[in-house]
Amino acid sequence: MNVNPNADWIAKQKRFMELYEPLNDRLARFVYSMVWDKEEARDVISDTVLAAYESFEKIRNHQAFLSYLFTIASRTWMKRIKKAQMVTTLTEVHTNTIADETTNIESRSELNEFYAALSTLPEKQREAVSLFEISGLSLNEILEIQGGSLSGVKSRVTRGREELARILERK
Amino acid sequence: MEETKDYKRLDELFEKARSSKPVMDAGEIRNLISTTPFASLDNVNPKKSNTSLYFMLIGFALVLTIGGIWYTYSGDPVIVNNENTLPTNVNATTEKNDLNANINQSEIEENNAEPIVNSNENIAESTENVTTPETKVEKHPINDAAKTEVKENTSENAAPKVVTPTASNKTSIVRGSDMEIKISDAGKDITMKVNQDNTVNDLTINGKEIAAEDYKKYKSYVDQGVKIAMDDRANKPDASVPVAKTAEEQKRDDLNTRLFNVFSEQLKKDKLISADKFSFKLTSSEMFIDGKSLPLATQRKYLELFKNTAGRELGGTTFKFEHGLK
Repeated sequence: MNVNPNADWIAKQKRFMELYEPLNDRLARFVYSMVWDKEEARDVISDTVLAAYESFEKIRNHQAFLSYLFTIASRTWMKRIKKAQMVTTLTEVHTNTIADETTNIESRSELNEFYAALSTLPEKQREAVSLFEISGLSLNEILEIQGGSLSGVKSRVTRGREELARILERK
Repeated sequence: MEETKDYKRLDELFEKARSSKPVMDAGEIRNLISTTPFASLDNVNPKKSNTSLYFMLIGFALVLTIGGIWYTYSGDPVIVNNENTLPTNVNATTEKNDLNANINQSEIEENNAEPIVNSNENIAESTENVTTPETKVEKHPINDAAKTEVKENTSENAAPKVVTPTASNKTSIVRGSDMEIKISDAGKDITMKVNQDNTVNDLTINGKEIAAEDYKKYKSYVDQGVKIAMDDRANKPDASVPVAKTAEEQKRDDLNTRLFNVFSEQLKKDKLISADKFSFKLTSSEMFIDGKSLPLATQRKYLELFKNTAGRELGGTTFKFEHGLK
């Protein structure tokens, strides 16, 4: 019996990309809104993808893959946040802002303000708001990622939006 | 109506975030999974891949074990004090702690050293496996008995006791006008203060203070502490000799100085500080002086000042400094 390992390998990659590609933009925007640093976001996305690639074949369907992928992303960025030292002294290197050639300077500044406001929310709340508003996940999908209850997820999203509106109004 | 307006702006911002360019596109992800090492492991018969990997790992572990045993019994002298039994011609010194530069057969390892806190008074460091010049070099097999062996010598004029390697053999130094030396040896915690004139006081063993007249019973520890203090003083870098900075360090220092000067001046102009002692902290959403929060309008102004001075946004980091408080 002939086994063609290259074909297996390529087939696996193709299967993964079929599942992953439609979710790439949503995942990338979610991760960026969590870590608010371009290079850090790329690292988190890479770690997430590699972890997901290892065991994705156990996933039964597309819907399950979304929860699977975002759950890994959620855990990965939380680990990073816990490790990272966010307080700097005069000597620390600054983080990057996202380079978006499609928006003008005023929009970028407004977006930075928005991400800054988002970063002040508690982690779970920030994550819930970001998954719901930026990545477009449903409340049930967020529930699968964060756990707890549906009412808890709703509450986090609602309170997160209220807090963001309040912070942005002050500015 | 007011409530609607607030959420309208928020929703606009969400829309902008949703339509912003992602930091990584699908093409990069495709390259990532096709070039990572584990991905290439799939490039073999799946049924065999794990087995071959296991054999490789077992083989590697065997080689390490055999190599370690061979090296240990190869006849090279080992230093009693050093648990890692490195060859005697290896001097593993670090730039942070260079206590025993005069020792010919010394091995110092700094594992998990504490970061140095820059202050004018006390600098705390810890090192592991510090040896002394009187360390006896012995040839013996590694075993538990050897690790815990202690050569007792009760004679008053005897050579200092050999400090044998143990899992917790540790020395630490707190510098100041008097040096505080801490030594851990075979389950005993010994502390003492060594003065500038190399006299010793405040000797304690396992927390129990030893009377001065009994110091002679612990001569080996006292001598060791004095030796450590003397060596440390002899090897401290000369503060009068300036250390050359790299271009990057210089650039960073220049920026720090500029930021400090600009901010201090502006804070004084705005009458936000009146004394020469204050603490200042700025984040993307808040500003504090001496721990007190300031209005958002003021914070926005100083955020802009940071951007104009540093040439970049503050972003997700915090800018802080203290003046005159130490």
